[in-house]
Amino acid sequence: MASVSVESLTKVFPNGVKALDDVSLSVDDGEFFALLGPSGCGKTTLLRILAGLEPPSSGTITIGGRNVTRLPPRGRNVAMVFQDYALFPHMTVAENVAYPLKVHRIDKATRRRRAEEVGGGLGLTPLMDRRPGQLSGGQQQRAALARAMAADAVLFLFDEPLSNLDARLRMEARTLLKRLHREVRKTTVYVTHDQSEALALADRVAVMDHGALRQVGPPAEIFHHPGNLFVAGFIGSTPMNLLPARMLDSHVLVAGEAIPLGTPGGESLGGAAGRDIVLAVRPEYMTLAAERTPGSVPAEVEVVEDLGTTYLVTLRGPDSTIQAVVPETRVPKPGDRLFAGADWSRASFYDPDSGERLEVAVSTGPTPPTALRLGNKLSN
Amino acid sequence: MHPTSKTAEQAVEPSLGPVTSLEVTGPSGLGRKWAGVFLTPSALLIGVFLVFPAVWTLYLGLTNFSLVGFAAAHPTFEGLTNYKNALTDPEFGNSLLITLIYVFGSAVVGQVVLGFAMAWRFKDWRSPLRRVVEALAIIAWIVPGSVVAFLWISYLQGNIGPLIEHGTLDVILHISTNWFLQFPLLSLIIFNIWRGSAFSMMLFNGALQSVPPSYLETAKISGASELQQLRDVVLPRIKGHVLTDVLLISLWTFNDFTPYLITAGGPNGQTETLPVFVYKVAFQQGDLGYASAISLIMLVINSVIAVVYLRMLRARSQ
Amino acid sequence: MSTPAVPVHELRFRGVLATFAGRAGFYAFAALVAAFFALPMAWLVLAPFEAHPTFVANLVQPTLHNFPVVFKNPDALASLRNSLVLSLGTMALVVLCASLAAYALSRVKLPGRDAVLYILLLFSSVVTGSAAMVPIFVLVYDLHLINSLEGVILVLAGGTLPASIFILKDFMDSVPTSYEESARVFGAGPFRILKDVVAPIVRPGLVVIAVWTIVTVWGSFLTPFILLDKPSLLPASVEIYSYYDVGGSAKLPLIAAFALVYTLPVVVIYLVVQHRYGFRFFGGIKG
Repeated sequence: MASVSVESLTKVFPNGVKALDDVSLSVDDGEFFALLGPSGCGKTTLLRILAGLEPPSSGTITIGGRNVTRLPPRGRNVAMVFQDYALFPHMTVAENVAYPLKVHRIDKATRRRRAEEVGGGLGLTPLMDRRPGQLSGGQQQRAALARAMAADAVLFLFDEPLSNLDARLRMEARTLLKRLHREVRKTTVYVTHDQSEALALADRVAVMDHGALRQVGPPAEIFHHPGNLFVAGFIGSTPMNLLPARMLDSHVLVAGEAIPLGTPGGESLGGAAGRDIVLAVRPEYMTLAAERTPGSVPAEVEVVEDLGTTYLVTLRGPDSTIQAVVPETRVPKPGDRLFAGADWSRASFYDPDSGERLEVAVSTGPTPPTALRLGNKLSN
Repeated sequence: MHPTSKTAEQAVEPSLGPVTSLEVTGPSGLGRKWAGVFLTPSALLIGVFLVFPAVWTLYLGLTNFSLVGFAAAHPTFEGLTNYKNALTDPEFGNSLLITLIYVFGSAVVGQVVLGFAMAWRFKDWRSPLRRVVEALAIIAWIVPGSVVAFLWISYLQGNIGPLIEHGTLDVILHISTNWFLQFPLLSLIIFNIWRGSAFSMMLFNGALQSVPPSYLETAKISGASELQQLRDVVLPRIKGHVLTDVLLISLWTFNDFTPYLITAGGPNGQTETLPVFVYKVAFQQGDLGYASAISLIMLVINSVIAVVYLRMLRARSQ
Repeated sequence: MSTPAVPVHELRFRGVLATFAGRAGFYAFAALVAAFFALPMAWLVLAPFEAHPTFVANLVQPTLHNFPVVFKNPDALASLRNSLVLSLGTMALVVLCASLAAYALSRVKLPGRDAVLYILLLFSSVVTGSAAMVPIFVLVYDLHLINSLEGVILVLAGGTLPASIFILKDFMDSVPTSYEESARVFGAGPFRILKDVVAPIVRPGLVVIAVWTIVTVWGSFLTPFILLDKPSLLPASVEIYSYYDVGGSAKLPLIAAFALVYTLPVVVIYLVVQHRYGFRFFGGIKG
C-alpha cells in the first residue's frame, strides 16, 4: 500500500548543526525497516521528517507514491509511537486509542468499538478505562501501539519504543512487535540505538552515523559483512577485533602470520596487493589454543570476563589487543600464553584510510600447509 | 462532537483539507502565523488597556486637561508646565519622600525580612501548626483591601468621633495610643508588612527548597553558625530570588492604593503616598493634566527601580 | 575540634539545655508571628457575631442577627452579584486569552519574547496599581464604558493578563512536546491540540490563574471605584464604603457581617487551591 522513498534529504538545524547529509533510501511496501545508529546520528531527525514534525532543508519524501515533502503530519496519514509513548495522561486507555478517530470526527460509538477491537488484540481489554498513570511500562507501551494501529495509517513510525522498558519486558515487546508486523504487514520505519532490536525485528537495517547512511541491508549482511569500519565497530555485542594487516599476493599477513586467501588477492583487490589493510574478526569467531596452529598469533591473556554461558578473554597480541569469546568449558587464566587463531573465512577486510570494505575471500577448510612464516614485517 | 456517518474505514483517507505549509512550524506545529492568531486577543487587551494608557499619560501630562469645566472639553497644550510645577510642589516632594520611606520600610526591609525569617525558621518544621501560621499570613495577603482597611482601623485606631474608642491593640496592651495619629507612617509600614509578607514567605519557601540539604549539612558539620550558614551557603544560592522578590514587592507597594482606604493620606498628608496624591489631584481637585504628569513621574521612578534591580540580577548571573 | 575538658554527661546536659532553649526560642518566634498576623483579623471573626459591634474586636453578646441584615439588604446582595460578575467575567476572558497566548509563547520562538513578557509583567504591576488611573479613566470615558461592568472587566483583564500569561507559560513549558507531536501526527490542528491535549494537561495552571484572577478582581477597589459611580453597579469592595447612616457614622452591624460574607469565599477557595497546588505563582521568576 505504501512504499517510502527518501531522496537527497538534508537537514540543517537553525543552530547550524547538520543532522542529515544527503540521505537517500527507499522502504518497500510492508517492509520493516530499522534506522540504527548511535545517539546524535540523525536517525530520529529522519523519522521526525518522515512524520512531518520537522521540515527538511532540502530533498524529497514520497509516501505511497505521493510527494509529501511539504505536507504537515495530518496530510501524511502516518502513525507514530514515541519513545515516552506520549499517552495523554488525562484520557483513559480507550480514549487514547480512539483519539486518532476523534480527530477525524468519527462518532463516539464507532470510536469505542474500534478501540476495544484494537486494544483487545493487544490484551488491553481489562485496562480500557484506566488512565496511563495507572499502567505499567509494558501496558503503556501496548496502549501506545494500539493507538498507532487504531489510526489505520499507511506507515508506522517508531521512535525507540522499547527503550523505556526493562530488559525482560523489552524482549517480550520485541516478540510482540514482530508478531504484529507479520500479521498486519504494514510499512514500518523503526528507530533504535539497540542493534539487537534492529537485527531481530527488521527486514532491512540502515546503519547511520553523523547524518549519513553507512550501510543498508538485511540484518545478516550487516552483521556478517559490515560495509565499513564504522559498521564493523558498531555492530556486535562485543566489538570486532580490528587487526592491522598487510595484503600480499595470495596471503594476508597478520602479526607475522600468513593467512591464505581463497582467490588470488592481487586480482580481486585490483592492485591492492602489498598495502596495509585492517582485518576484522568477531571475537565469537576467534579460537584460542595452547599450541601454535597455522594462521594463529601468539598472545598473552590479560583479562577474563564472565558473560554467563561464555567468557570474554582479552589478550595482548604482538601488535594489538585481541578479544575472543570462548565456551565456559575452556577458560584460560590471566597470564596464560596462548595462540589466537580464527575462522578467517569469517573475517572482513577494510581499507585503513577510507574505512571501506575490501571484497576478499579467504580460503575455507583446513589451513593449507603453505602457510608462511615471513617474520615480523609489520612491526614498523 | 456531532456524530457523522463516517466509518472508521473511511477515516483511513487523510482529510486533505486546508493543509498549511510546513515551512516555519515549531515543535508543536504552531507556525508563526498561528502564534500570531493565538497572541492577538491578549495583545489587543494588553495594548489597549495597559500599554496605551501608560503612553497616553505622557501626552495628558502636557495638557491642562481637567475633570470638569471648560478644560474638560477643550484641553490645551501646556508643554512642560505640569512637570515644572511638580518639581516645585512641596506636596509632591513630601508625597514622594513618604512613598519612598513606605516602600523601603515595609517592602524592602519589612516584608523581605519577615518573609525570609518565616521561610527559614519554619523550613524543617513538620507540624500542622506550620500550615496554620502560614495560612494566617496568606489570609492577611488575600483579604480584600476594603475589608483590610476596616480591620486596621479597628486594630490601631478604634472609633474617633463623638464616642472615642481605642483600637483592639490598645485594649489588649492596656494603653491609649492613637497609632494613626501619633505614628501615622510607622503604622502604615507595619500594616503593609502584615499585608504582604506572605508573598515573600512563599517565594522564599520555594527558594530554600532549591538549596540542596547536603550543602547545609556540610556547613553544619564544618561547624558553621546559623549566620555563617546563611551568609555562605543560603544567600549565594537564593540571591536571584531575593532580588526578584524585592523588585516585585517594591513595585506593588509603591503603587498600592490601600493606604487611601485606611488614612486617606492623613493626618496632614503624613501618609499621602503618591497613588493617594494622584487620586486627590485627579478626582478631588479635577486636575487631570497635573495628575497625569505625576503619574508619568511615578512610571519613570518605577522603571528606574526595575532597571536597577534587573542590572543587579544580570550582574549576578555573569 | 579541640578535646573538651568537660565530662561527657556534662556536655550532654548542656546539649539538652541548648536544644531546649532553641526549641523555646523557636516556639516563641512562631507564636509571635502567629499573633502578629492573627490579631488584626480578630475584628473580622468577632464583630459579625456581636449584637452591638463597635470598632473594637470583642464578643459580649453573641448573635447571628447581623447576617439577615446583609441578606435582606438589596444593595448588599446586588454588590456581591456585581463582584461575582466582574470576577467571573474577567476570569473567563483572562483564562481564554492567556491560554492562547501562553501556548503560542511557550511553543514558538519569537525574538525577545521572554524580555517583553517580563517587562509587561513588571509594567502591569505598576500601571494597574495606580499610575495609570487618569488615562484609564479618560480612555474608558471616551469609549463610553463608564458605568458599565464590561469596561471594568476589560481594564482588569488587560492588567492581569501579563501575570497570567507568565504563570501559565511556565506550566506549559514543562509539558513535554511529544504529547502535541503525537496528536499532530494523528491529524489534529493547533486549536484541537490546545483544547484536547495541552489545556487538560496544564489544568492545574489554569486553576491557578483562574483563582488568582478571581481573588484579584474580587478584592480590587481602585478600578471599579473610578470607573463606576452608579450605586446599582458597585461591587462589594466599593459598596462597603456606602454603609453610613445619615449622621455619617458607620452601620457597623451591617459592615461587619457584610465584610465576613464578602471575604470568606476568596479565603476559602484560595486556601483550598493553595493546599492542592502549592505555590506555583510566579514560578517562572527564578531570577
